Amino acid sequence: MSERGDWTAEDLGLPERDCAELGALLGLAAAPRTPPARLKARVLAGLKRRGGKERPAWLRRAAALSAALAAAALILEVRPGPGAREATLAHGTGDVRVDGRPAFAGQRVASGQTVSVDGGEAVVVFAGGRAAARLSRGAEAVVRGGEAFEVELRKGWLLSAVAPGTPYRVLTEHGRVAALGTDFMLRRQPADTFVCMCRGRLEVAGEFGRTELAAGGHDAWVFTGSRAPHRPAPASMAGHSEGEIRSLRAFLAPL
Amino acid sequence: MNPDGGRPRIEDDGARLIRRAASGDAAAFGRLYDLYGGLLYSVACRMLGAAQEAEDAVQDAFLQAWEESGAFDPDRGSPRAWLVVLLRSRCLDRLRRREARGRHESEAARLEPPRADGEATGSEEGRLRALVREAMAELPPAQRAAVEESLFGGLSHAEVAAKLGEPLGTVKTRLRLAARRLADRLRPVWEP
Repeated sequence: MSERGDWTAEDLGLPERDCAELGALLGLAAAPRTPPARLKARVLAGLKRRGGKERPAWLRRAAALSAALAAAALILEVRPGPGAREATLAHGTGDVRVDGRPAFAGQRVASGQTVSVDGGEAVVVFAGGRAAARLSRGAEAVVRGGEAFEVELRKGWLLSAVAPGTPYRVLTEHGRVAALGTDFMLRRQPADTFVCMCRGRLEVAGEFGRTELAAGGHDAWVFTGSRAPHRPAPASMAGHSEGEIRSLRAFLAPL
Repeated sequence: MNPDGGRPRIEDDGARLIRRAASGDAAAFGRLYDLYGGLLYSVACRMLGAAQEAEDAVQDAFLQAWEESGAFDPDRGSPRAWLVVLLRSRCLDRLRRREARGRHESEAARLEPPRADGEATGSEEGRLRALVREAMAELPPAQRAAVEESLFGGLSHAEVAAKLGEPLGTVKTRLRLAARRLADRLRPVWEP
């Protein structure tokens, strides 16, 4: 198994903006090709179809998944079935381990078990699709049950996609981040925790107290145990682009 | 770059067009396509090696841009970076799906030949293209190969190492060195 697309700020040791700008600019090194005239027509026709609710395949699938998820979530809220607190390793590339042993897709992850990723990525799905967490390479997290779906992020990056109304939290040594919205990304850093709120709201709690963060879209903060979330340098979309979020949200469906 | 070395004017135009698109101006979005469609299509062809798939990826990226144009923030990056990031994600999704299906056959033969340099390009794009190629040409060949495989091949570092027959650590070091060198050389384009 392998992970594609290692052109990231972390890998290259560049500031995130430099990484994105450089990657885009180097696109000019590709052999120049003139797109067929029909492509512009296709794109513009796609805009018009948006008005008529006709969407490209990936959006139709996402909409269908959302609808299925909403229905499933409603049922689960009313009557949680057996295993509602269970987590499953739904996808993995590279060296993915659970409690240090090689893991396999479909493996159940019990509360207290540690998922670690080396050289790939792993997606853990909670309760048949109410929340999904993608651990990037180098990440290590402990899955915990209880009243909420919890992930304790010890190392690396974690992107979360959460169905509305799902009790889902990510913990680091700096504090606890609870989803009030849907999608967010956390990166465990040596001195603090970086959080990017992709959409919706988050509640962040630590020694500093408790605060709620809202975002217009991909707004980022850092926090430590003693210092409340404050804005860091502008964040990039590295590791949590809309495409990556969509691919994670694809796991938000009944397994 | 502009003759005075400042931020490319095309980027300012792009940012304005995205703002107008965010308010539902489809004509402005069409002009945005005119500015960046060629670049995105070239990158998609390079990454996917198949014209039809490249068209699909570019269409997906632009439609995503239309939907998310309200979230674009020029302080966080240029329109070009924003659009190429969207496109790369779409291309990587396709490469992953292709890999998952076990379909590795090259469809490069279906591509039309590249156009001649400078043809059908604005002068600003032509200048930028020359600058980028010059910067790439200044890299040691081994670093250049690693950059091309990582950026355009969408390969992981391990895959780049396997393809080039080099140790993983060597490839990582080469990529870092190359990226730093390229960024230092090209940063004035996005950070005048």
